[in-house]
Amino acid sequence: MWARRITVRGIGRRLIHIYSLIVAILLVYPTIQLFIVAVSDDIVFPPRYFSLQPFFELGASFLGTIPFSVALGVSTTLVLIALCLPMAYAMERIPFRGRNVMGVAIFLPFILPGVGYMVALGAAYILLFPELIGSFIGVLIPVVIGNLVWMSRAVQGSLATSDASYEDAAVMLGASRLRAFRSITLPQIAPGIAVGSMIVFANSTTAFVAPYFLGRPDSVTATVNIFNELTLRGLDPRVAAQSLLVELVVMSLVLIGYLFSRKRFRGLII
Amino acid sequence: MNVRLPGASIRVEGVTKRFGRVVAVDDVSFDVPAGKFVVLLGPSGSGKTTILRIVAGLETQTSGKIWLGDTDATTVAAHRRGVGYVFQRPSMFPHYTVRENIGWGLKLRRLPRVEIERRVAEMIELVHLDGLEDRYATELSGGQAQRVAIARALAPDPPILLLDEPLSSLDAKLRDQLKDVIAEVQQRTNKTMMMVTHDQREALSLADTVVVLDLGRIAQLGSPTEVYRRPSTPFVASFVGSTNLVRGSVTGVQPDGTLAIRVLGRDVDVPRQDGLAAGDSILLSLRPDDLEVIEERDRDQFPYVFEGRLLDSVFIGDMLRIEVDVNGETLRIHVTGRARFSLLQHHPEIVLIALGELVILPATATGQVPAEL
Repeated sequence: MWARRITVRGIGRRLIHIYSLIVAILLVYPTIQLFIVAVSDDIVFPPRYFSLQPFFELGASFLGTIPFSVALGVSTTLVLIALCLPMAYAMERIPFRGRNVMGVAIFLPFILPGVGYMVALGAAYILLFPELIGSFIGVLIPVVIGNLVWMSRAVQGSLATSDASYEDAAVMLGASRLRAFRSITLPQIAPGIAVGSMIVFANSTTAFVAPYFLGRPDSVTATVNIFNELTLRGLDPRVAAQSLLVELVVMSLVLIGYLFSRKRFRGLII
Repeated sequence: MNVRLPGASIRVEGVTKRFGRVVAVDDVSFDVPAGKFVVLLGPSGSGKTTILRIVAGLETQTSGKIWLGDTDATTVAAHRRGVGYVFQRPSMFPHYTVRENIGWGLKLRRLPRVEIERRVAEMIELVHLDGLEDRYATELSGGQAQRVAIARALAPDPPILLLDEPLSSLDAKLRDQLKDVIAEVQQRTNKTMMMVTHDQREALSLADTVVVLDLGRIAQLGSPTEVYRRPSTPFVASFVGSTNLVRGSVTGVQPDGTLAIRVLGRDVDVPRQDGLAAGDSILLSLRPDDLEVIEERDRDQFPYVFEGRLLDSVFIGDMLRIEVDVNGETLRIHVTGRARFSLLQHHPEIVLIALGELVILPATATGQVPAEL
């Protein structure tokens, strides 16, 4: 009986391993394929030659979009931290009327179809603030709105698990509410902010819909530039190299953030 | 231990707190003299924690005033009241060590580093945390973490310390240990302390004054002995310790003022009691430990002895808890000493019970004076 159980459990475990491996391959495979295209334009497998030349010929227009992409990522992350901290705090700790409505409202931009929303926003820009079309702020606003839910949920989740009595204890020791929040609550919810920042940064640096609809050639992300080149020339080694580079830069920055957070908030982040 | 500030008095003046339609605290007033230990005792929902939080400034009252010492603190922000607070759960800041936690309030006051270190060392010695200075909350037991919370609250030398059920999250052994620590701290520092609890043993053993609360109102206020021996309402009688509530009636008033009452099927004379007249219905409180199981040969030594039929008995070590039927009323009795073994061994059908003390709780619940036999 026991022997049978152990065997069944062993088979189950093995099946889970195989399933996990298949999922991992499916996730990583496109990047591997992209790498092959980038280093070899050969159409047979395995490729007959390798070249890193495409990485040195990325093109001026692509390189020109990198500062905009990083600036958009950093700005979105900072704006969302500033917006979501008080918002999540209010929703988690301060009872007020309309709290539930607000909780649902932050999901709306996430649920609405992106293209339709951008057309609507573009129309609003043209009618009310035409100077926003093609500007950094004009692109930043929809990217911030689209990512609001990620940061807000990450911070709110952390606040929900942090005991409010710590902050009250700090107040009773003589700290103002703001000081108690800064010294006691903020370090506790920092892992949540870190996780939210990583997601938001990765999303906004590679944003596509908002800059595609509302940007101009000098105010688009690298992702939009890649898409434009792809529609013009198809998938060639240079476009593949550009895509790989975007993946590499974003993932490296997220990884650095993750490692820093793991070291700083040991036990709180896996 | 160098005591800097003595305790300050607390005055709660006509405080009411409403949460929507719910009245959590209903026109409560009481005074706590400086240096005294008052315990707010009551079941869940009686408003005790709300009162404590209002005194601390963590909750705003709907009406009424709070005085701390000679200061009207009603509108003073919590962080400016200078009151120490210990929470129900050990709210030790998780990202700081024991030493950093205790010194947190002192650092906030920008005291010199040497002074902070000296004060932290004093507090560590006071709550017996020596050797644990560099540990984090996750490396401490619940009792140790709660001691850190007490030391942290006391470190800035507040004249008043408020404790919100500080023992409730601990197991029985730790609870006893920490109770001793709290009593010792109060004696050594002479701080005014106000503690909330639903445990009558904690309240009776620690308090100078017990405020019994029921449904947001004060049911009784008095010393532990008064509250226990002279409960003013059936609620206080049954909540503070266990009791047998028995119905009776006043059968007559003697010329000397002595009351004749009928209880458990026989007449008993008790001292004069204002406001009662022949024919009045009364409710009596008979504490299980005021009823004594006696031998037949000792019957003459007690003025009032009842015969009861033994229904049930539970042995719990230092006490035998029995249930006895006396004239249709079921009485719970705590038997201690050697008598408990004799009862256990022989398990007689009929036992003799001597009345020690009974308290009359008039149905009007006003002007009750206990009647001792």
